[in-house]
Amino acid sequence: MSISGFFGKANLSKLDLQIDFPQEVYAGSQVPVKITVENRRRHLPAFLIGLNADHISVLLPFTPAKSTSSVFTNITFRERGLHTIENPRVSSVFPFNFFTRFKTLHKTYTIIALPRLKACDLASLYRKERRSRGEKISDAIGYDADVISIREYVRGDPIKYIHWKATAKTGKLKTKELSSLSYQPVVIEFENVMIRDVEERISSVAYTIVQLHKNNVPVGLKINGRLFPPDTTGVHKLNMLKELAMFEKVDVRVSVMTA
Amino acid sequence: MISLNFTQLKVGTVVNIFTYLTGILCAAALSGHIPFVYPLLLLAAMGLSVYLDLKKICIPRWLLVILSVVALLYFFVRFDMQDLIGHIMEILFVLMGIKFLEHKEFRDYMQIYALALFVLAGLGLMTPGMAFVAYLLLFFILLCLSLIFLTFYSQDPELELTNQTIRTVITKSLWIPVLAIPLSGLMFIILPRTSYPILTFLNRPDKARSGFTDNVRLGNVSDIQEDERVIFRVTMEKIDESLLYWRGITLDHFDGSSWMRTKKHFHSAAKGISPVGKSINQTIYLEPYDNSSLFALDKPVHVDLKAVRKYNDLTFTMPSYIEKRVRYTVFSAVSDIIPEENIDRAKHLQLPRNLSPRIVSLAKSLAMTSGTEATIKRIVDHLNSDRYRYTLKGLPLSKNPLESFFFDSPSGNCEYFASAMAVLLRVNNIPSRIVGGYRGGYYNEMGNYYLIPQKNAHVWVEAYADGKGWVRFDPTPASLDAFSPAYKQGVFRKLQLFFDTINYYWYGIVLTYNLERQLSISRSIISELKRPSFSFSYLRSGIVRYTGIALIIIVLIIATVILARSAKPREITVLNDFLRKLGALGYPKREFEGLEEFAARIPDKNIRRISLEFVRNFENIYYTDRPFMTEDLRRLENIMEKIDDAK
Repeated sequence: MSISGFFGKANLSKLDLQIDFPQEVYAGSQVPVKITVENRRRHLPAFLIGLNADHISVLLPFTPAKSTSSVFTNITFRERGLHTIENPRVSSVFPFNFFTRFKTLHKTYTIIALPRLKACDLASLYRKERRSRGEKISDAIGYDADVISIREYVRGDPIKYIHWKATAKTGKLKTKELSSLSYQPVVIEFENVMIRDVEERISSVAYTIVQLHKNNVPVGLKINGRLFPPDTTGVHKLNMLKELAMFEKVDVRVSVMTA
Repeated sequence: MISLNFTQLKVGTVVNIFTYLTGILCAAALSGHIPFVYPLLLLAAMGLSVYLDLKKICIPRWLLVILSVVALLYFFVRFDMQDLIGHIMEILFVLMGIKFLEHKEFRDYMQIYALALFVLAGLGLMTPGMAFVAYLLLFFILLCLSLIFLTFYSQDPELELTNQTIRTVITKSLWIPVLAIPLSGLMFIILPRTSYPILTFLNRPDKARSGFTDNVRLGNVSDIQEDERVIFRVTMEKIDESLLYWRGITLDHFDGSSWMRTKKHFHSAAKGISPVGKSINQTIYLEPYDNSSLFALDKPVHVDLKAVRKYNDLTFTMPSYIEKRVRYTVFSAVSDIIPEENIDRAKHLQLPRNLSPRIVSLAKSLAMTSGTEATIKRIVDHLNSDRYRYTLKGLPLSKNPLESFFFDSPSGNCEYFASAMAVLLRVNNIPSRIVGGYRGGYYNEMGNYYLIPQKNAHVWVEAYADGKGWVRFDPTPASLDAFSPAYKQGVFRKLQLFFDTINYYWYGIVLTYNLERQLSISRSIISELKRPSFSFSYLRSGIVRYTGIALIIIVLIIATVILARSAKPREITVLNDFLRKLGALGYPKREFEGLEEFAARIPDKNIRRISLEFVRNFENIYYTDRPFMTEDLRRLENIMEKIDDAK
């Protein structure tokens, strides 16, 4: 009995747990989560490590000594906002299934669940506006608008972009560099969106941001007196979505649903 | 070797393999102890179970439950107190077989293991020898492994394990039994034990062991089977084989075909004079058998055992049948004679009423006028003449066995010779009695003990000579070789003897270990500890010696640690001391953090300054590939000491 107790205790010692979430976690949709157990012991493998953190429950049957093993599980966050998994408990019935031994790992894992996306028509407003304002030429190199510069020909450049005049002058093949066309930037003023229910408004705005970003439209957000100037990068999108996720939220204890 | 060529196995398959191994172990352990049909039944059930598993056929549970109930009823009908253990084992085998046929889930596996445990416990009651211990250890190891895989199975029945994982799990899990077995040994020594075994009632001596009996019957058995089983072992020095008579019982009443014992008288010190002879102490380990007599080297004077009864014919018995192995010490005076006066002559001259006149006339013809002893000698000579032949086969079967022995077929075993002599003596008015016990034995040089098998059971005669007392005569012409054949022949015999030696120590140390011995050991430890004065001779006593050994071991360990420490460069030791000191102050160095980086982030100004000084001094030497001199190290240590002052 004492030997099995000893082994049970040793089996849970020197373990480390890592929970990897995908970059974009939207409330209400299922996301895959990677759970990795690291066994830092020198000899004893980790047997049958179970993780029970709120609604996550996974089993890692075998982790060799000085090694890691991972398992994927799907979880769903019901609400937007900051979710914290605090001091998860690992457990194991090793060696004899008579007792379950628990150990609390003093670690905290946080994840911001982005707002649920709700299809809406805000984007169509923008499209209408764009038609009236026309397109905008950006500084980025593309294949749409005016010539910005001329450079040496690089094999593979399409023939139609060869700058024949410059080629003739210099005797070397030259290629035109054109600017790209971009869309008119748009800034969504959160407070002015005409949807009464806050949650619905957040969901709709988030959907719009995602849609516009998908179409490469520079989009900005004005919320809580803070302005996110229009941009098309992924980080920018995430920042806005996070801001939306945290809108009027302090901290939500993790409330997840496994699927 | 079978090479296992698989990459992945379902954990259920692994559990099954171990469970089948457990079943095979049970069958192997009990074969020979119960009718062979039961182990075969179990193996057949296991085979069928493998087939069913492969074909994915499920026998409905209710059918198997009915089968179990029927089997149980059948055994209750046949129930027999005589062989309780055997019957329980049989039913356990049947139940285990049925269990194997079921579609097995977690609890079914557990039930199979429980049944196997009961089977082995039963084996322990049947033969508490080393074989049992071997089976038990094997079972324990198997049980640990199968329980661990069963734990995996219970968590996820669909789990698949790779070859490598299974091997690792097995090798790591083996540590559990490896550690648990010595620990259980320790528990065995420490835990209080009852002096009275609780379960031995289950194992009544059901199978009467041939050999020694408390009466001698003639004429109803024609062949005697030689029984090689050991009846007792005696720790003593080796003595002349002609002296090896192990006294058990005396018989004084003859009814024509059998000898019995009449009323026994307890020994009274006033009446008898103790026999005179070389004194020999023996420690005897007597196996359980179907009687209550204790055996001891002829002539036993004192037997040291609780509740033992001593009789005036120098025999000793226990109040009840010997149902468990007993250990006792005996003090014997090796002598042919028991000096005794004023014996009950009528009792020792008793003869059956219908004694054949031919025997009487034969007896009279052997009488000598020159005196009792001459008559006795003539009778012994007559029985040892060529006319009589010693045999164990074709003994006379008759209503008057002695008459047949004397006149029709003059061959027989020791019982015939001894009876014949006693009767011839009694006809000639010489008091006599028959003594039953054992003769000879094999001396085991490895363990310094005598081994006496059942087949050495023997009877001889004591005749009363006036002025002398009871004198031992052995009329049986069998040579000593019949009782102490060369045991040295053959490797197999040697091996047998070797295993018997192990068994002997097992009995001597483990099985007779009880509460009394625990108490006496703890008492002696306590009294040794309490002894107030320290005498010089004390140095030689065990405790001091063992303390000395323990001290030497501790010193060796410390020396090893110091050596291992000094194997590291001295500067590293100093650096480690420095880091440990800072760590104790609450500034642990992070892994992968540079020394200077670490020292620079110490918040306390003074300590930071000293630490930086230390680090720079250290690095100046360390990174210039210059060896650290003693003064360098001393300087570093001095800097380190400033940390203590700084705080």
